[in-house]
Amino acid sequence: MKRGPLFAIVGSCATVTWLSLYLQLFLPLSPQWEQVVSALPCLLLMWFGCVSLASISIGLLSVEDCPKAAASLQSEVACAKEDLRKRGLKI
Amino acid sequence: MEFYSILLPTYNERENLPLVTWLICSELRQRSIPFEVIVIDDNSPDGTLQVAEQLQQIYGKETIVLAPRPGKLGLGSAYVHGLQHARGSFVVIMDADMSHHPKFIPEFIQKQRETDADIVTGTRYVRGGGVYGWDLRRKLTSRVANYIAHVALNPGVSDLTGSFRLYRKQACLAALFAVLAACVERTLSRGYVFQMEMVVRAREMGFSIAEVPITFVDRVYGESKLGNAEVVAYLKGLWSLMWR
Repeated sequence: MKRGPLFAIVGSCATVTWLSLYLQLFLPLSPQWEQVVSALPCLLLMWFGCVSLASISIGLLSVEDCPKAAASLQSEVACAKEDLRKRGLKI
Repeated sequence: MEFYSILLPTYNERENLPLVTWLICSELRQRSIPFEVIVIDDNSPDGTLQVAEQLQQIYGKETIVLAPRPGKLGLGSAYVHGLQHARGSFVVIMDADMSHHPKFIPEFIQKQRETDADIVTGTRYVRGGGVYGWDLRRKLTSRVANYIAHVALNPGVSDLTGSFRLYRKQACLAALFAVLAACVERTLSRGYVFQMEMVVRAREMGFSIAEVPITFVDRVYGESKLGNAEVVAYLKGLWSLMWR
């Protein structure tokens, strides 16, 4: 299944469930639980933000620089230019 | 022994085309891998085609195949055009601007033989791979773009927007036509989105994908290719890929 419809279905189910709890449609909540339920969306958003931030940070730190590859390319380019000139390439 | 066709779409690559061709020939001949280089030039004003003709004289018509086009017609159709000339059962797609090093082609081939994958894609984001010439901002943009794509698409590959890949010819054609068919409804995706769409569509069709770490040497210093328009195009492309 594509992520778009998947997110839409999961998102709407979660919203309906949360609303039914928050508006106490089916069962009454004690004051403590009322607080927990009202904070849930915010908590979820914070959790997602943290996961995203952590994931991007780890990714960013693990991008390796490769100066060696650049240096060896330089020398190969010089080599290629000379060989091609010998073979009669006119640029 | 399988035959490999290397597709090089070019536009104003007069300086780089001889170098990349030389590197391809030296890397592949060393290992006795049978191959051809297909140069798809979009009528570059700098005379890339004339340079390609000279290379054809040096390396032979069997090795360098010219597939010129009358003008800039987009990357997707460049691949279709190149594939029509391809004799190989596998095709390698890479940039001709020297950011992709041909030394990785034998590694792609080896990986393909080991895994029997339909597609082998080069990745900058695993151990052994890397980039050169990117500042922190460029790296951050790239990582954020990649992260969003992973959340939105679950693509199963670590580097979605890279364009250095080996395809089984049938897989390449199938993915290309899926991309082109989807474009009937909207404008043709270009650049990063095109590369991403190719791999996502291929995966949806059930083709297997393997990865090989590559180093990416960006030689276009200072000039950022990532403007706001590119970011918007990328996000739009992601959004449409999420739904169909």
